[in-house]
Amino acid sequence: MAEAMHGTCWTEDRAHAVLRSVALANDEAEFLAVHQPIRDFQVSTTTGRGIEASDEALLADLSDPETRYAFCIVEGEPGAGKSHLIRWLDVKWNADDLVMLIERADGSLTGTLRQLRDQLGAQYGYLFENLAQSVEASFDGRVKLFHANLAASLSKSFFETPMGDEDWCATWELERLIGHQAVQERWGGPERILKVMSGDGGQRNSASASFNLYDIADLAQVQLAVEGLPPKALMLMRTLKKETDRIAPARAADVPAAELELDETLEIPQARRLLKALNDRRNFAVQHILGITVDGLRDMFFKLRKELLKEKRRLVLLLEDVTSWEGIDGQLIDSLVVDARTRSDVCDMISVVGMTPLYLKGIQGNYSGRITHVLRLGRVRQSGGFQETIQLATEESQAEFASRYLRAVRIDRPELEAWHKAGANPETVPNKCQTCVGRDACFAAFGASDGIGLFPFNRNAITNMFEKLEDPKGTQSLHTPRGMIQGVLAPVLLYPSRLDAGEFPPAEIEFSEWMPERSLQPSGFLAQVIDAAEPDLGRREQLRRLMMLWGDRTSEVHVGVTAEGMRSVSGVAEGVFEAFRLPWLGEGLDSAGTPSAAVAVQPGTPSSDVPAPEAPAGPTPAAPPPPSPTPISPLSATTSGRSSPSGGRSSPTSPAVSTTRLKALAEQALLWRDGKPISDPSAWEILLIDLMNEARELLPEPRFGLWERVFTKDNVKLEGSGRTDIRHFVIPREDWATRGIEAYLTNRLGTALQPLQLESNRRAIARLLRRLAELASAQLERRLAQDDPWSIDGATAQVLLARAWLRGAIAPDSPLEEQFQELLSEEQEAKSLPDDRVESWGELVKATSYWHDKLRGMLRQSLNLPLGSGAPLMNAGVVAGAMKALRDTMRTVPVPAKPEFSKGLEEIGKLVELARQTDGQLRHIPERENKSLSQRKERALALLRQSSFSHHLAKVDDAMTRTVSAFVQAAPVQYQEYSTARARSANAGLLNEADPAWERLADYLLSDDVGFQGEAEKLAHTLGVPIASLRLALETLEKAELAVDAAYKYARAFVEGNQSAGDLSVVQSFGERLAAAAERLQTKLDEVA
Amino acid sequence: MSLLSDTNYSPQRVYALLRLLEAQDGQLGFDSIRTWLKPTLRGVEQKGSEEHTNIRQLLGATASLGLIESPSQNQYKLTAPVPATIEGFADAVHDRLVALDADHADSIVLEAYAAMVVLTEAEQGTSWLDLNAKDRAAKINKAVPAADADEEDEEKKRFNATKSSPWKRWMIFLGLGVSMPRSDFYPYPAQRLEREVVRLRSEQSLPRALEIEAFIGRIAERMPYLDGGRLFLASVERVRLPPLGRRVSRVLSGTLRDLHDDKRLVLDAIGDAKETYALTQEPHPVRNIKAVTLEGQANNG
Repeated sequence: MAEAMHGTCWTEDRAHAVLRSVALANDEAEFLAVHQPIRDFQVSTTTGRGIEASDEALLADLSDPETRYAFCIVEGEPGAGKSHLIRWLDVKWNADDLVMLIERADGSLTGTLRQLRDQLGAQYGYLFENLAQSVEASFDGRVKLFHANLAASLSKSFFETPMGDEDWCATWELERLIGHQAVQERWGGPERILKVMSGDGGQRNSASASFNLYDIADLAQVQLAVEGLPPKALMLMRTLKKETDRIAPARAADVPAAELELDETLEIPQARRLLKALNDRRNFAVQHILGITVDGLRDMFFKLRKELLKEKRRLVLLLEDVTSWEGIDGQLIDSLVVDARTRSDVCDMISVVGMTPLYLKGIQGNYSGRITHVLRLGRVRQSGGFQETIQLATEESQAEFASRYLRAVRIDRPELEAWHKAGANPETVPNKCQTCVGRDACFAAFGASDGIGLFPFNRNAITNMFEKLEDPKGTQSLHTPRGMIQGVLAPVLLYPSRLDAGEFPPAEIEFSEWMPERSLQPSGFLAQVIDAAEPDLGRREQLRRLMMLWGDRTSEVHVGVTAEGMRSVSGVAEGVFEAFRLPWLGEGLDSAGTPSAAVAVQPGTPSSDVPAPEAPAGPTPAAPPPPSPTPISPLSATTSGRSSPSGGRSSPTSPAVSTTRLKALAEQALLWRDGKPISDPSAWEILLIDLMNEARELLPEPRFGLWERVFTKDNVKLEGSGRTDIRHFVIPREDWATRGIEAYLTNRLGTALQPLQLESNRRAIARLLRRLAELASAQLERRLAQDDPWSIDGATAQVLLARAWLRGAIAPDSPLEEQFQELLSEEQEAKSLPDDRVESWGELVKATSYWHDKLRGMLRQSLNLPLGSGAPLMNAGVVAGAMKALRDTMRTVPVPAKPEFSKGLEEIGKLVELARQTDGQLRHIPERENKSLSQRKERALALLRQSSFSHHLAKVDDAMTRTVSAFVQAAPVQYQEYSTARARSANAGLLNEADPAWERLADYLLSDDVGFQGEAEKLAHTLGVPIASLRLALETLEKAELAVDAAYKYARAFVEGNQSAGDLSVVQSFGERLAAAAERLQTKLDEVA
Repeated sequence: MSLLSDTNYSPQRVYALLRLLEAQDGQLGFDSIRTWLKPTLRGVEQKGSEEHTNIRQLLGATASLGLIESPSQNQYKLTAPVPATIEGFADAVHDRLVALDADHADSIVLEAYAAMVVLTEAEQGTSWLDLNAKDRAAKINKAVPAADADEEDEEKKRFNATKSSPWKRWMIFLGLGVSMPRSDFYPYPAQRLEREVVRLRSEQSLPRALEIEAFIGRIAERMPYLDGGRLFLASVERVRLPPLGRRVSRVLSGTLRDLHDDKRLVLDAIGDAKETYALTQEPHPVRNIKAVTLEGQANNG
């Protein structure tokens, strides 16, 4: 490059003058200077003359003096260039014809009519005078009138020429429905229509002023508030409600109503019928409030054409946007299609009308025979949606289009005017680049199109910015000339001072709502590259805009060479960095290696072309393996042979989150980095749990069970993604996390990467996992109250072990490993009769009754030491000490004093409570129970009166039998109870002296008290007592006592009560029997007692 | 019997065994150990085989670490106090592995890691980790000091794919790397380096900041598989990698940069070229180091 790059080469004033996006707004010189010949549009004619698809050919055909009638439609999406073409026709049209150009202006019908009046000028102005007598009403007043007119027009026999749907309207009593007071007050449809017709504050943008399905849906919503409607009208409202409920989801998703109307699969017949009825009557209602008669406009055009016929002139009507005529568009089009060849009283007429594809579709049926030319500036996309503007369909055409504006903003106004005066030859538009001394450097860095420098853009910037434009409301395509001007050129060219100040690319690029935030988010690696190169935050933002828009986007961050031989980073030439005074980002990117080259591995015998290890430092003769330029895709896990060290992890290789959602998450991750909220929380939940499981691998202890309780889908959150409290594990929005998550997502997606970025991503993932593991560990400590570490497993094992002892499942003096097996096993029936023990024994067993299963499950999970698919081992070492301590001391491990275990950790909270209860009660139980048993034993021995159990009961039986035979009513209840208890004892084998049950009980009753070495032994001893036999024997003995005692008292009372009553002989006889019986009974009772 | 010849165990299992023995007065018979580690639970379906190979291998690996001995048949006894925490256990194992003579069967454990660090340097990155398990292991095997006799038998090679499974578990446990999603073990000694720096400072009186040369030297003693360490140099020789000179290896560069970014230590970059060591080129503000300040301001929790 011989010359240095130039500085700013345009002014803000010139940019403002040139970039007026409304084609009809700037002056002719500016207009012609930026005009790009319009070519390659689709054109069809019914004139029998085919024409070339170019603006020049169209002009030639339409303005041909032989053309007597033409009705030419220019179809295109809003902003597609319809106005530009129509204005160009106006500029180029001959002076013989009366050419009337009606602009969109403010988009209102009244504004349009005003233009018509102005265009008629003094000569024909009188024709307009009787056309419109606008009603002098406020906007609200006009809405009311419109509404009332609409309602009235729905009545039967309203129109002289019936619309054809009068019967349907009458059936459903539409006049009364639409005219109902509540509908007038609550339904906003008519007001919306009038607003659009009024230009919508200049924002109309070809919007149609027709009722749409959403208006019908709004009308149906009014149903509940409407009282006094005829039944038929109410029925219709209900039907409308049902039908329009079906389109509610589409409405919520911002689907344009027009799209729904075209969707023939949508079954909403009544809504469609009503929609048509309203739109068919709209023009009448509007004309009425404008004071335009049904034939007013048509009459005016007839009169005008008659006048022009006299002058032998043609009328050329160039209408930028037909939607601005809505309300009287029917009359207008009717006027345009009057062909002078079919009648002799009007002049020839050429009309060119701009309309959107949707509008054209609506009128084509009625006027297809009258349309002579249809020009389509767009074409249907395969993907659907808005049409693609042909003029800007290729990157080359986009650059060419932009270059004309760039050329124009660089021209001084006098120079431009001189060119215009000289005939505005499109071939000689002044181009400053031709004489610029910095041209070579500029073109090399920024590129050029047909000799016009693209500075301060480059081709990438023009295309990227253009393609990224997006209407957030989804109501229009921005891939149009208007989008290019307003969304691409203006945000850059209107701020030349920013270039002077070293603030390029300007921040204004991002102010536009048309530039989606996500499209300006650099990958984590690019952000890293930028951050490493530039410490200043503002300049980092400039670099971000530069790389995201001026860069090539198609590949990852890499250093290359442009076609002009200039170094570049991801398509941004070094000269661009220099011109914008930004640091070159290619430092360190051009080689993935270290400054000194490494050598290939040459194991085995030394190779002659490899330096010896002790060779002095310096140029290395052996060429290092160059870093592969081929992007590397991370291997799939199936080839990596990856194994899980601690098992139990979810596999990220079979993602529960689909690739499409992962891609969306990757975009969101970039936004999250910049403080924006995330969406798709359910996908994030799954992803974050996967990530946490990866991080868990780095913890020395996997904490199975506890981990799952602390790190649930609900608990793991990204910072700023919702309300959080102490339960939540919040991943902070810090560099290690934002960069790591982005790298992790890239890895999950298997995106091919350049080696340097692959290395960077891998380390970012490693750092992320390390930091997450650290934070997770701290979170576990916090949530599990580990400030003063306590053993959850130890406490759990102790609570379960105490329970196992007290239920008699195992004795405390059994080998500890057997106790370990028992406490982890499913419980069986309790053997220790806890209810027959001291109160605290039963209490402690009851306290754990609900929780033991949960605690056991938790402990099994926690102790698990899995390894691949092999048999898991148990981490018994973590509880063996606690078990031994419990056995030795009957005390549990320390637990937190004031634990607060929130949701999800209820078991841990309960564990602390139970451990504390166990600690408080267990150590006293052996002594208390032992004492209780001793007392019971003493009582049993006392009641047995030195007999064996069976012998003693035989004596009781004999006494009771005799007594009962003498006194049937003697102690019947007590005797029965005794008999029952006795039977149970017999069934238990206690009355059979050879039965082991009796033998064990007898052994216990006859044994001497022993000393114990500890509480465990004491507890084991109490568990060894045949408690069931003892209880049964004691119960039987007590019942026997009660029965004998009751019988004795009965007999005694009987004797005392019968001593002086009745016949003496009888008395004497009974007294003898009684005396004998009492004597025998007394003897027996004495024996028993 | 060595750490890598017994494959069916994990560091966590070794520590569990040690704590079990400690709780049982330091000695247990095989049957007791089996009952403890593989209890038969009523009402719970048992997984895995009835054989106890995994317990035998666990005992073998633990014995290889010199932490238990077998005074008589099927009896196992602790030979040293058991560290109070699992992190302490990792430190103890690391210390033992660092101290091993080259002829010890377990010396391969850290030699293989050193080979990985050197290979990553030679290959200018870690994409070689994406080789299949067998080729990756073969590459490492060729970069470690050779056995006395060249072994063609895959099973007898000092390092092979079979041995890489327990090896990776040890490496992660010792804080020397992470299991990289969709790839394999990734050398990343940040955790260990941070821990060793803390231990270094607690054991010796050191200035707050160390010149880079002194820092590298100290680290090479405690982590001989990194730059300048004896295991690293042995592998460098084997691979015939030119001396690093005043450069920091790729693995250590990345680790130091991350610890610097995490404020665990501070890399001081200001100094003449003669006084500094160059870090591996990558987009990062720190490109050279003159000194390392051994304390940061980070809050881990």
